Amino acid sequence: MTDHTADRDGRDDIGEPDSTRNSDGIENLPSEVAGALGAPVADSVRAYSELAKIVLNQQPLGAVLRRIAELAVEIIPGADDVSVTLIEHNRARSVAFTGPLAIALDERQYEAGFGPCMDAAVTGQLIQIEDTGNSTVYPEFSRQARRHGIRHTLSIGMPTQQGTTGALNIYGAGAAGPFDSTARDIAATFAGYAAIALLNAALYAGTLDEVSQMRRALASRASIEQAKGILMRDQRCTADEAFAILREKSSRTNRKLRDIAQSIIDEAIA
Amino acid sequence: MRTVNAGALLAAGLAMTDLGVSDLWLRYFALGGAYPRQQLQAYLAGADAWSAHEHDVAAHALNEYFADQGMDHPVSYSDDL
Repeated sequence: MTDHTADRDGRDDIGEPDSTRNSDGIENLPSEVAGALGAPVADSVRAYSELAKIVLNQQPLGAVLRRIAELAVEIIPGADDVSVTLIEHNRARSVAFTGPLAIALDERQYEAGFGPCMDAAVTGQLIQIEDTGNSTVYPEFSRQARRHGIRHTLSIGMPTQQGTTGALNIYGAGAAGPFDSTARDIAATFAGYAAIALLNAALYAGTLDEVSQMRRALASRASIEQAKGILMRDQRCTADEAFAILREKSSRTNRKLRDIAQSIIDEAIA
Repeated sequence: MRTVNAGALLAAGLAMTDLGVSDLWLRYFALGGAYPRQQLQAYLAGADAWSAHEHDVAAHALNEYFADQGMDHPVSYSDDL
């Protein structure tokens, strides 16, 4: 998708005809993708272009994954419903879905503790049920799916780091047969984008966490410095001796040193 | 000045916790510690000598963590060494 990097700088060309960029995009798409879609090729090019952009936007993770699911339903041949499973702290949930059917089938698996979506998320593999009317691996899930009119499914694990994992789940109700290699390839691309969005969100959350820890540390430090100043004036001692006074009091009373410092400041300004 | 052995005592205390060097450094920094993280790492490894005061700031940071776990203050301060 490197041909779309020129679009990253905030220009939004979605919905605008741009013959130059579209023809660039077509050259870089797998030919069977463009051919198998049946839809105007420009639509799939726009979808890929939008994928690249939404992943790089600073939008909430849920919104990004929802958009990825919506685009997947539009682009993947035979897809009728798409959902995204996330497993965080050993708890699975659907963070994005295009219809009630997808979420109903996902949640049956979370209750059971296993199923194609969960197994794909945990192993990072592609798990396909070609015919829900005849599946030996997931018989109970397949029966449920069949009852809801779903004939075949495709779950693709997201290639993520340890910790949070996830899967893209694609449900098909059409009679045309199981998802073919074109559908699998496109689905894998979408799962890759979802994984990038996931990684970005995790990095961003980690940075926020670090910043707030640092902010708390700086506030604590400031209080302690002020209390030391008050002690130095009152006790006519050095800064190190002032710290020793705070430390001894903290150890003796089993109170945090920064709380002792705050008490001294509060007394001084009372 | 502390000898390098004081840093080893601190390292022994740290090894009893789930904290990493970065966690300890943040706590040490929050109490007014003056040295950067790399220097704490060197002190723990016995490769740097610290003043009694800086040792006590780091020791207290660790002892406050132990106190949170309901334990006494096992890491020695400079006047006990």
